Amino acid sequence: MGRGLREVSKFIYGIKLLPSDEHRMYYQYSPDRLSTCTVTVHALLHIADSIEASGPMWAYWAFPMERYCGSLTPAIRSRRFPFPSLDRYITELAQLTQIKMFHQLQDALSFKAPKHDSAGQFSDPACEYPNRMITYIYSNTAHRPNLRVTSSM
Amino acid sequence: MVLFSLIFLCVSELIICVAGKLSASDLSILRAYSFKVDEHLTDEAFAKIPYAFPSEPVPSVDICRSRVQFLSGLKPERYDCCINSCCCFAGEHKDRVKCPYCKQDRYIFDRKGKRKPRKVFNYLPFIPRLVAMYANPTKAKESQYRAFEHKHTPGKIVDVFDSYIYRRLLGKKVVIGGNATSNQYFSDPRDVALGLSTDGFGPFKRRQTTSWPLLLFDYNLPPEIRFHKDNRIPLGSIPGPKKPIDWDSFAWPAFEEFMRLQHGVRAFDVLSDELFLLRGYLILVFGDIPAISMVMRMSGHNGISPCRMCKIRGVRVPNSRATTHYVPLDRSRHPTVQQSQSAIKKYDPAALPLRTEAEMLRQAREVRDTSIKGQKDQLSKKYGIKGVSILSHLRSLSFPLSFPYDFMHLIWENLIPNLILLWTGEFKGLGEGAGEYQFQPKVWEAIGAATVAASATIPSVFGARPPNPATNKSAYSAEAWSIWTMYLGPVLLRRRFRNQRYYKHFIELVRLLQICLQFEITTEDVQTVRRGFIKWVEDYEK
Repeated sequence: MGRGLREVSKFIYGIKLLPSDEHRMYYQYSPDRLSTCTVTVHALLHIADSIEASGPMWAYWAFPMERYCGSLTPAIRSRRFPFPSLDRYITELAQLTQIKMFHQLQDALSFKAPKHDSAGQFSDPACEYPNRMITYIYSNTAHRPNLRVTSSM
Repeated sequence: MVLFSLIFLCVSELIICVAGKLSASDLSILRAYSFKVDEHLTDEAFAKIPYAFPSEPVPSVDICRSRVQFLSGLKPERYDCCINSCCCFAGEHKDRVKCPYCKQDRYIFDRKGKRKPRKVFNYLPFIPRLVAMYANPTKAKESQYRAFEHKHTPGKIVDVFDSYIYRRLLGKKVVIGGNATSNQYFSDPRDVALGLSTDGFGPFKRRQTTSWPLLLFDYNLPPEIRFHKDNRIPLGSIPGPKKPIDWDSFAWPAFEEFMRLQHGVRAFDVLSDELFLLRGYLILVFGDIPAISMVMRMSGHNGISPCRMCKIRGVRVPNSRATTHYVPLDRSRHPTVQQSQSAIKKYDPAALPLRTEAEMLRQAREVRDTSIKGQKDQLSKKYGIKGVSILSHLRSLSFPLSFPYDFMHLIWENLIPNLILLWTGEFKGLGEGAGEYQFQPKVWEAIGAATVAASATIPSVFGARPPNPATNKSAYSAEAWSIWTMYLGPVLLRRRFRNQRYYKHFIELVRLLQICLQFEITTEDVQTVRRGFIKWVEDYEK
């Protein structure tokens, strides 16, 4: 923008010197481009305060809630009565969780092969190959894990 | 209320004595029923199990269902609600026979004249579940995270327990209904810190129907498992078809429980083998902007005061019918602002007019107590507050700080997709004006193709494969946008803009986001983020 033009724009808008074109970004202070200034852009200015006031971002972002909503969608088995079928699923899931809590059935009702904390316990640092230990390998078909010797480098 | 606490006492007794051994047939029922619920089997499919696996003795679905309910000791509370889901007939609406908002009848009468509610809100009480957690050795141990494992270091933010909203409560007397009680917030290591979340979700692709699930999180658990499936506490779902008008009435049963939990409920601590008073406090409420506006009873992101953290005034696009208000810092060239004497021409990003709790409550009460309708609307528009939220009676919450903006929607679902719409010239039909940020279609296609090509060599631990942003943008999830922005964007956008300054501006954003996502954030980091975003937004407006 030439000097003359700058003078003109100063005259037109009656405000202090506009930034020259080489600095123009998105809103460009133009009322016609107002829709670029959404609340979400403004909210960035509150992020720092928010971390201090309420803790790190991950502690209250919506990912866990969205994940939960995602898990509810397939629970709606009736197109005519979607909400009762949703209610039934939420209730039954909560009831089963409660029973798992009472009777410590978290593992028994997880429908997964039990976790083997024993992996690695056969290693023997005194032997000739201290970095060798016995671990489990898993495959999709085998329910019981096979034993094999791997290196734990 | 008395009857209610009596019932509750019985339930808690039951919980304590029921925890005996399960019989083999009960275990068999539980296995089969867990399988049914996990896999969403229909009742018909469930009835086939005894024929498919003849050796497994599984009774009929009704027997299983009632047995599961009995063993859990958890029964949903059923509250009648409006057929259009305007409000729940609880709290102040308890005795109404018509919805106060849409005037629809609460009941339907059958031929014999027997009345039946037209719609029901199924609420699952959460106190029994918190009580059960302390009777389970594993969970009780895990719940010690808040008090024993987390160590607060001044100047470092690692978890919510380093935040102002939590730390301001420590050492303070619990206030219930204006009266201070004898106990202090979080003085017992077993006191539970809770977070509430809600969100509207559409069960059907082709229908506008929404349902609003309520979900509670237990912050006493370590962050690694806090949000796991078995640790979230669902409170039920506000049924659709519409967004509730009076969310507070649906939150009434939960509110009653929060109040009771502040006083303390009887529970058994399996670790110390003793009965104790379990207390809990709600410290956080979160979700996307429309959900939280509803919960806080604020007018939302399109209003005149669209921000829930500060009192910045929105301005409308001149000569347009759209009622959306936008919030640039600098609106000195806007015709309405130029004509007005009182309107602020430019807001200082370092000193925004923040909302305070006292002021918000005063404004909310003012709106509530105004009986003239026109005046009420005017006030609520001016303040951006529609009324007094039921949650404001829980003194463990701080308005508006306990309702922080959600990073996921803010950044991954809004900011980044909007930037890309700007770059591709699809943002609300806006040209680039005096800017030079738009890509040639060929350039953007090339970036899209490079995204897909890169996916094959990115280890899966980083996340799911991001789709092509040029051709398949609808397939992008928040997670995919985060991967694209943090790892791919900085490489793929390099030297693609016609002017370098847009790339630099984007990279500055990525740098700030990276700090926000750190597991440990120091006071200096917060300062960097504060200054960085001020500069970034000011540059964005240039």
